[in-house]
Amino acid sequence: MIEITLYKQGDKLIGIESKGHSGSARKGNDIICAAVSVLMQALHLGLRQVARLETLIYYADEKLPLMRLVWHEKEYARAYTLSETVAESLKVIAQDNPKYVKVHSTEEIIYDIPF
Amino acid sequence: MTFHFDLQFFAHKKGQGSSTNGRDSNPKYRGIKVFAGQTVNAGSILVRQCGTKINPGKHVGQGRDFTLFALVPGKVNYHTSCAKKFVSVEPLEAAE
Repeated sequence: MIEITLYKQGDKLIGIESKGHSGSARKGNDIICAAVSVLMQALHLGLRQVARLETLIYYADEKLPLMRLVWHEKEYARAYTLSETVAESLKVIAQDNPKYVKVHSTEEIIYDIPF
Repeated sequence: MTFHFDLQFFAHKKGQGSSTNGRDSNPKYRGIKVFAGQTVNAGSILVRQCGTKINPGKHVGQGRDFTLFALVPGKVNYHTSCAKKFVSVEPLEAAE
């Protein structure tokens, strides 16, 4: 199951993390994994090259697998459209495939690297 | 910064291996069909076998697929001679 974590500060979205295997099919045939993979990587591309966030931190670990994108609250407005679109899209995928994808929000400060 | 999308980033990394086993032929239902002491009619199949595991004895015929069958009605007997197994049928009149 892929676990999506939406990092929030108040009601502002400041990070999205995706962790785990979807397990809905073998590698190469796993369309749910493909959907989540593309959304997360498109968000990374958009925030990096389109919105050009300065405080964007991208972390990925293929073995887990885990992909995390976090940005500072001061850049919330610039990331808003892209990040909310991806978050809502991930929620739709989770709603349609509850067996393979789960979304939850948290206000946990995941690490204390100063921006 | 150039981007590459890994469309299977969250898929199981190890491709589930496939086994080369899993084939089997249809069952042949071989074996002894009538046991010692049972009475049979003529033509009853006594043994289904591959090769002559059991050899035909008195009043027992052998088909082209090594099937053994009774030639006369009577009682079935199994015995061993010279390390070979035989099945024979004791005709009913002789049996009484």
